[in-house]
Amino acid sequence: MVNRIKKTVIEQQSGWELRDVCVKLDGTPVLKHIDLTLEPGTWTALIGKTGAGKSTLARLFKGLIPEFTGEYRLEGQSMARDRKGRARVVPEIGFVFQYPEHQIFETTVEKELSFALRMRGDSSKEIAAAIRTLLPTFGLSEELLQQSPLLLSGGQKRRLAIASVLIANPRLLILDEPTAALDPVSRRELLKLLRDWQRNGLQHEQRAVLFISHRMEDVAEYSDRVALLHEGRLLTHDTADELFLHRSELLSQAGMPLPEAIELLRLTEQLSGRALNPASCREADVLERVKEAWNARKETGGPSDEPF
Amino acid sequence: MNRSDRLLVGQFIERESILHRLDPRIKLISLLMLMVVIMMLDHRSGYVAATIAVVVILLVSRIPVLFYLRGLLPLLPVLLLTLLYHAMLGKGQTILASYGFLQVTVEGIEEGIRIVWRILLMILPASALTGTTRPLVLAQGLETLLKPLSKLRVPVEQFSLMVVIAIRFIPTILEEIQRIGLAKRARGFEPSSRNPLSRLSEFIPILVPLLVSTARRADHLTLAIEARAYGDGRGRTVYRPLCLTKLDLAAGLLMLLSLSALLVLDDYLPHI
Repeated sequence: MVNRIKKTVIEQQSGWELRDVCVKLDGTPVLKHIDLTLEPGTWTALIGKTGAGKSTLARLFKGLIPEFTGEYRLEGQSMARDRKGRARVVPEIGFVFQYPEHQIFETTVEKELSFALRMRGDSSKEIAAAIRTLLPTFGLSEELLQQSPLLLSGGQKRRLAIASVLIANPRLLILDEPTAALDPVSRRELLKLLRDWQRNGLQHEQRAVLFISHRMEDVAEYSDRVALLHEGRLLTHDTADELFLHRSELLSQAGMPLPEAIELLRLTEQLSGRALNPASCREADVLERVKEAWNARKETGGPSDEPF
Repeated sequence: MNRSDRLLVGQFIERESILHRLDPRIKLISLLMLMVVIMMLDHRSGYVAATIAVVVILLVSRIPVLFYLRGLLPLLPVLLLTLLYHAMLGKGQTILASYGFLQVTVEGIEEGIRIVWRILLMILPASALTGTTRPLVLAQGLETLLKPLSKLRVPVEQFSLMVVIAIRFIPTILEEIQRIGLAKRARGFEPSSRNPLSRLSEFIPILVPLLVSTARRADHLTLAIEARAYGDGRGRTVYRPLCLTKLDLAAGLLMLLSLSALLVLDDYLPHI
């Protein structure tokens, strides 16, 4: 018991840590001297322009990049490598690829869901229990279990694909643009579901998420921390509030836009000549300040349809 | 060049040779003529002469011999089976051994060797053709050659478009296979040993999703082609029209002459 607590403490301190990692693909450097630690219990967004190295970095964490220099420590342990010095795929890390619905390969929904558990060697009892607890969260009914996954609707397929990753209860979940090509409502639902899943981790096994996204609004809304990549280098790894509200020059350096609500905030600040300090970079907090500024303007008597 | 690119080009090998520069139509016609002539050979002397001609073609292509040998590898079982079939079931007078209805005769063995030899003489120049011609240029050459058939309402252009699309989608489909493989590995699947049979059995479950996604893609592509008013394809032009050069004509003529010489040699050389 004491050992377990001790181990837990070490794990919580360590997380997944890259030290001076460089990756070359086909001879071209893709990642240059990356130092980055993903802490347990945090939702980290990974942003950067197309080709900045986001997908490569995500695959590196999962162990899908066989060759790299530098060190990768997983929960205090150095990355396991085989005889040829190639990185090993890390089974404890969940990975949702882009367009996950295109990677469904089993013949029934049940088999698809249980694939990771079967590979791990769980008993059929455990598998059935895991499926039963997970299904309702993902809005999938038990009648679907024996169906072919190819008959599901697009949204169902995506949820199934993500569910079949989450069922193995990974400690770190990597999401490579999980909401690409979804409609706004489904996007919000899916992100909320994933956020709830991340927060519901038990105390001693806090779940971490690495979230790749091109939508700054989603990044500001859901992330605790943001890692910003630019041409293979890590420009910053900071809290979302700090980056979006105080260090936005880094974003423009990397060619990334601000979330729309913060653009609006900046515009309002410019026109009113006052600094509006929102509580966080989340949309609700930011718009709250914008609204206050407008209301203040109304009260001082100016016509509300004119600019400040 | 990454793996899928290499696989796309597959048969084609970039080199500087006369064969690479020749017009695909000349190469296609020459290959056809060569095959017909080889079918017409009757005597061993003819086979020897044809072998020399084929070796010359292979050497002129400047493609490493290893490439040709590797291309023959998958055919090995077929060739062996042909040889065994003729050796054991062929009819002949000189019986070497017999077991039940199986009869190994000298004539049968000779016949088997002759047929395998003939197959080799036809396959090797064909791989020289695909090795020295880009797949798309080859399709274009085929289309031009078959054009007269469109007078008979054979949909030549559509057929050629189909071939071109099929070639273009090979890397896309390979990518899809890799992606599904990656997704499996990410969920704890370890590809088993190097045993080709067990690797094959791992590949089979991928086929269904692959077929489905390919059908879906074909459907989208059909719509996209129609949306760009492809219509029945009449009167389309090409970006790089084929044109015959002096080199092409010379090569065609040379081929014609040597093939006629081959036929003559086959009949008039002392028969060995």
